[in-house]
Amino acid sequence: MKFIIDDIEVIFPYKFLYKEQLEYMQALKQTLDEKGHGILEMPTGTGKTVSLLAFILAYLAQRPNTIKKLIYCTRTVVEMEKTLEEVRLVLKARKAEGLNDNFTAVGLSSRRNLCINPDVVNQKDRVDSECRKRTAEWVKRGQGETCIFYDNFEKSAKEFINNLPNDVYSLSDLRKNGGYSMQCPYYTAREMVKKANIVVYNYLYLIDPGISSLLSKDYIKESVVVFDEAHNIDDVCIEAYTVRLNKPILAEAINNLKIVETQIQSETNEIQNRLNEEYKKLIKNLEKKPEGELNQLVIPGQIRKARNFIDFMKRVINSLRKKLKDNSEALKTSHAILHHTKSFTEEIQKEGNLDIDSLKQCGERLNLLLNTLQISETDKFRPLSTVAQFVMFLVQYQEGFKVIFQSNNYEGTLNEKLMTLACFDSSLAMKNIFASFQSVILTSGTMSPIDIYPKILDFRPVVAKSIDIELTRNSIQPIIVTMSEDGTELTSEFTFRNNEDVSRNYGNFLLELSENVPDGLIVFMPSYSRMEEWARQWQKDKYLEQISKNKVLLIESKDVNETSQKLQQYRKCCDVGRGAALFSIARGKIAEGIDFEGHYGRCVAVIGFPALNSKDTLILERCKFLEEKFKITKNDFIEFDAMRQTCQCLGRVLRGKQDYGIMIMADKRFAQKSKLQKMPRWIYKQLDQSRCLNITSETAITVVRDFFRQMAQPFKIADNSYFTQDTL
Amino acid sequence: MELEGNTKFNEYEEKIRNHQVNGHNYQQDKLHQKKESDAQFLIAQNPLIMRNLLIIIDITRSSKIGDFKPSRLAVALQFLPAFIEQFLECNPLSQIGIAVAEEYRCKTILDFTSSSVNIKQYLSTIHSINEAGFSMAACLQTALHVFSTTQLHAQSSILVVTTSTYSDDKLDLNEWSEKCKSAAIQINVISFTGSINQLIKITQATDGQYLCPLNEFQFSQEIQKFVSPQESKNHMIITQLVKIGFPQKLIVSQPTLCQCHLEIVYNFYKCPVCYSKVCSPPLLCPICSTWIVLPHQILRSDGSNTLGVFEITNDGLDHVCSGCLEPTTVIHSTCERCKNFFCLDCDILIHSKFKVCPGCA
Repeated sequence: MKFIIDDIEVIFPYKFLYKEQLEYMQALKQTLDEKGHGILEMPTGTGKTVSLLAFILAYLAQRPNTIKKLIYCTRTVVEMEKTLEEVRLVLKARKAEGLNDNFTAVGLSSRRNLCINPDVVNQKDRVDSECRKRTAEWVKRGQGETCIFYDNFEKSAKEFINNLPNDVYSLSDLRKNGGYSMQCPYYTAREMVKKANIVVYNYLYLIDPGISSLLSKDYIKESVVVFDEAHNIDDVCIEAYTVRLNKPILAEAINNLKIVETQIQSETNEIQNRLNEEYKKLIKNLEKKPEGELNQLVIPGQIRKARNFIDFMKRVINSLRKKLKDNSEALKTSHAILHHTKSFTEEIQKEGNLDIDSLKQCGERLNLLLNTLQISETDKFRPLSTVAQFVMFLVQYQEGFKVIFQSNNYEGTLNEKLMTLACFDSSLAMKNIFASFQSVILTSGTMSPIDIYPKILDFRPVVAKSIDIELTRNSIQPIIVTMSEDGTELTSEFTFRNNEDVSRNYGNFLLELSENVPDGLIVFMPSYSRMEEWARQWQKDKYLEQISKNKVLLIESKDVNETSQKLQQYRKCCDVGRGAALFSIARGKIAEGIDFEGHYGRCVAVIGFPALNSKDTLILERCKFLEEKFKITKNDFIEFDAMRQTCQCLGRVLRGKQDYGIMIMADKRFAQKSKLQKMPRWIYKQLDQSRCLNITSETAITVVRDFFRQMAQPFKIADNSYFTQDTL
Repeated sequence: MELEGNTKFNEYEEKIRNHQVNGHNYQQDKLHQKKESDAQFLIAQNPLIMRNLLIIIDITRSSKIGDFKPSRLAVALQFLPAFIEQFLECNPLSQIGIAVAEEYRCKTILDFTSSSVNIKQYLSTIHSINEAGFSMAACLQTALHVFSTTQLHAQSSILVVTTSTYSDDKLDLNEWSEKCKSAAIQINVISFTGSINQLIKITQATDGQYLCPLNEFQFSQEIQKFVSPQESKNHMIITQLVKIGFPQKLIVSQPTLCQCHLEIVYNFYKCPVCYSKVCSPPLLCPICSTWIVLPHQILRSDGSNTLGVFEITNDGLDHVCSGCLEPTTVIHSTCERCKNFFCLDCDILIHSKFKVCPGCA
């Protein structure tokens, strides 16, 4: 269908346009017109992606001077493929209307997803380095182990890409094309990204400092950047800037250095020549640059020579090692040790006699050296580059970072001491992005409260809007359960951890639910440890046995493969009418990105309040930082984080207007006013305050029964909630 | 019977109320009702006049839940007798069987019969069990087994009254639903719990209905939808010659054992072929397999020959309704064959219940 918003003619690929989609596009238009950034919240499953694409493409076509490019960032490869299919749909609809846009859309992913060389692709984790081995600059073409696909690409890349018709190239298309023409799909995609109007790739291509520097040359200021499912973007930003070191990594780094050293010392002429050349080049660079201007390529004298640099790195690693050892002693008595970055830097400098400029440039210098020495197995040298990154961040950024020593509880080996350079400032990664692009749009189903994102990401949006959903019937039913039948409070609070009554009441509630919910039931719990505790208790009280009579019981595990297998089983159980219950973690894989449409998800129950562990040092520090800089209190932040996680879980259940589902929140803390305010409006609106707020589990079951009977009645979407071509 | 009285009373009350407030509206409603009953009547003119219905009642643990008062099973058992009576009345050549779904299996407790007294007697023996494990596939398996003994020209349908939210099958449900489909068995479900995706799919595949009543009253309403035969697309029409016998009715003073249910009876029918004693036509003679029916049953089920849809005439003249013998004023309808006038109430009653025009008769 075709319609006009102000002066933009939009072609929409479907016959119906919902009211909220129109509203969304209007908000988008405002953002693009004002050349600013925007935050948009729209309920899940209402066609967010397609309306976004349809509008931006129309804008691209009709205002080529205002914006030139669309960069669409997704979180996973699956979402990326889905988005590209939607692009294809929109472009097809545009073509059917007789518009010839000459748009090219391309998806970019890692070598692992794109490689088609049969020798390389089977190596799983080593694809990257195997590829580099065959394609690096110094590998002689046509000799030994080179990649035939890359050779072809080098020979005829330009022609090939110019000859490609304007179309949508998803990952599978790229692989297929590459197979026909014997061209490397990965490099083709990287080349195409420069020219294409629509680019779809992962968040990290923009956020991660290591990767984004590769692409930043080709940025065009007049681009629109869209972050889809952006509710967790601050976590991604922080994770990208956080570096972890422990004893084995440092030991590996030393080993790496030794290999480099032996290479340098080997007396073959070739290597010596190359080293000399490199040195001369660095000197030359120095001469070229005008004085006083800081440039990345100016390498300080201290580390200009390869041998000096090796010594320098050795000193860095040794001082880090010493620090780790000193602190490990102290860790025996305390939980975690904190250091300010400034004092830590000074101590390291003193220890190893290092100067700041050299520290700043050591990452750059390391890359240069590795290139000169023609070392392509980057994965082997990752420890060394991690160390370089650690010191680089340490020196470069003063605020928002802290060095934390603590026992490693991430990998289960308690004795291993971990040194973390933790980043707390999520605006750091986004600063560049906001500066280098004209419009950045953050969008997701759950971004409430919407005013917190501009604060923690430090930018000023021109549009911040939460768009409501218009439902013909009450197809979602949020329920907040605070008490069990006998009046005891339901809560997952830390102090009630060992209270058997609480876990028994939760078990009883789940049993009742499993009896009354048809098809799929998804249960989210705060953490793995809590789930294990409860499961043990329920096992003892025979709740699990009874639940499994009503539903097939599946439990999410930490292993990704196992979980995806269980998901498959889950879907199958729902398909044959047996019904299934899936126990999962509110912060796990299932909570994000996996949709339970239709009968796969009839009820989501969030059991317990999924708050962050406020005893964890990293989180405590982050809260402190937020309080200092943005005046967001610790409670506020923890509540905000828990609520967005909860709402993300709840949002799994509604995928479209015909769909329906129950959203149960079972913890007394959900009923507090401050939490209710942090709920997205489209969920809060559906919450029947008199009937579903603050009720006992028994009442909740009655509501559930009524709801499912109500929803089984025949139903048609109301005419006034959507537009067709005629009604516009 | 009490229920029927109730609904009639309600209707009456409504009639009075509507007359007082707005006479015109009342007429409109009646016209609408006539249209509906005519539509139903036209569907019911299907050549398939013989129907076999197997009612399967879920008695597993969930049937004890008290959201329907006093319990789900009790509500089902309360309203089923009235339904069965009406069903047998409107489909004179039809038979009903009863089965219960227990833990992972399904048991027939009464073979096909058309004696409503008998059925009611058996219905009252049904009780909930304490185990979970309703299995749709087991139900279908039993149904196929039961229907294998019936005649091919009859329309066979299943009515499952389920109280569970799942179907826990040891067998492959898809396989058995395919079999039912190829055997032209229509599957209908009344659920107390909401929609189960797979069951909806099965009912749609066999042109059946999936109903989900909200409360007790709606249950009694919705179940009426199964009284008149539904259109079935996948039914293969099989025509075959049927041996029919009209029995002789006898009333005796000494107790006699009937051949069909092996029960002591005092009034019974005698098969014209083999003289065996049966109690409730229509049925298949258990000895000689003759189809024993009463003449009026055939006449009523073949109503399309005698009764057509009445035409609405709006001539503004006063007439006397040939049904209730009261004067009708504004809107009335005429039978095309005997040109008699009827008021709308009688019209609806004739088409939904009697299936015979009093004027023509």
